[in-house]
Amino acid sequence: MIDDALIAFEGVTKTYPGAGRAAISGLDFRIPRGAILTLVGPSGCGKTTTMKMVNRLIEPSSGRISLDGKDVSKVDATALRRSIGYVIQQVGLFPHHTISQNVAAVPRLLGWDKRRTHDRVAELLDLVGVPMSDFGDRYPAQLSGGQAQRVGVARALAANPDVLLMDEPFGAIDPITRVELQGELLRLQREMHKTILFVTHDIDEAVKMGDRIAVFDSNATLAQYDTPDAVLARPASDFVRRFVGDGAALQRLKLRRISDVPLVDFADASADAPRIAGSSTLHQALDALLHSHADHVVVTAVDGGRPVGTLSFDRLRLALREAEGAEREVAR
Amino acid sequence: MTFWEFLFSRGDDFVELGGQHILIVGASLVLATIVGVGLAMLVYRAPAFRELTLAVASVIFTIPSFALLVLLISPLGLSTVNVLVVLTLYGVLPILRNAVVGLRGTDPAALESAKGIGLTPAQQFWNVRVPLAWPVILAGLRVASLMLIAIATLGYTVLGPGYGEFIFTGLYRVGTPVALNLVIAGLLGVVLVGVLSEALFTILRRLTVPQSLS
Repeated sequence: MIDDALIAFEGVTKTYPGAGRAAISGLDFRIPRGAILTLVGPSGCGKTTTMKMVNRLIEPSSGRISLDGKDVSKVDATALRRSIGYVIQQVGLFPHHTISQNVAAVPRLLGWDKRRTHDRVAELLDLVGVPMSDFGDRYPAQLSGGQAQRVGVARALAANPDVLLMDEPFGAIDPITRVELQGELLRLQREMHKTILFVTHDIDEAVKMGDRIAVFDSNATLAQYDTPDAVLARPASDFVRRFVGDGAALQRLKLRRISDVPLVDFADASADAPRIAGSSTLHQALDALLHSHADHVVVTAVDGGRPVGTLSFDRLRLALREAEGAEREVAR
Repeated sequence: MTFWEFLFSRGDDFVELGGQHILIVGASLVLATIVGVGLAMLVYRAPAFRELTLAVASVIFTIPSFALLVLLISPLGLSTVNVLVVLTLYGVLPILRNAVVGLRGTDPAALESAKGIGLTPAQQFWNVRVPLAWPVILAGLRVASLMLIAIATLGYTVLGPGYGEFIFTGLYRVGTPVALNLVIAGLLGVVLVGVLSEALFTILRRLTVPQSLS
């Protein structure tokens, strides 16, 4: 895993001139290729600063950041930025350019020919659900917030970068659309395998989106860098525990699917037990349990209604404990 | 003689003075744009220089134009150049002020993303900041143009070109039958040039400002 790190921070700190304390210090971590790292923490914790050092919008005061083994400070900043996707909360589409022109921005900077650029833009706008035939000639002001950010993501992906930087990309979007966009980004990611740094102040979003989570302390240090499950199960400090807040166990149930845990034979299933598909999360199973009078749910096959086993409260609890055990195994 | 008969009899003069009026305003507007927009580009990011430049332009603006024309007689004489300099000086303030406001008012998110996706500093300026500021800059030019069209009439006091000749000749001949006709012809000419200016800037705006920014 460590050998396949795409981005590595080594002893990185940033202190702004005239500032009393460092904006961020002691950054030492590696981001595996193809992983989503969520950077989460309260405002002023340095998470955005950390992200912006990757494409040199901010230069570190000390330490080294490497991308694919190359020290980013040795790469021309403009060329570096063109090779990294960049998405911000305020979207920042160019208001005087059409949607198509916005998405074509980086390919044009890179000198792609017209045909290739056009095809790529059409492909991406389709991919993010803002088809070129309907939206290509419109201007950003004519889009909803959700549509604008879809275009923002398309623009970031245009030149097919390996790395995406996303600074609270869904932070200004209404809750329903946000959930939709989170789901779509995860769906895209299953095909794209980009390495993504995703800044958020929302721990739920960090858990949902991240393969790894970097929790930043309010004193501008990295408090914990781990898998979402490990951060929830074993917070590294009181700060992380408080930041994760109540309901860590419930959160962890969202990370696991019913089909991932051993089930009990359904021969003894009671008639009034709720039925739930094996593709659901343990969180959904618990929800179904709480709504019913039964002490277990009947799990049905993912590809049809056939019952394959049952899942009880005790099993749920056990599943969390086993997950923790498995994590420890991996850590060793 | 009715006004229309008068105007018809002086038709050639009316057209010639119109041409002069347009030329002198056009030339000074171009100069004022170069100076005003150029200065704005130099100072918009430096607060101290920006305030100083705006203050100087404002002070020049408050000098009565008539006084400035007279003041410049000794270095520049009774000439078109005198008028050109005065009109340019007056045109700078509205153009400079709008250009500064426009360049500073660019959507910070658009600029940040421009930088973040890899536009060079020059590209950030010319491809994002300037186009976004353009509607505001153009509005400054439009106001300056109207202002200069009006002020240009005073240029005749230093024997400058344009419709001032009709108006001032009329004033010198107050009491004669032709006086009122001369003044009205001058005013009509100035108004027509003004309408022409508005029309030009409306077309220019249509052609150069994307709908999304207007």
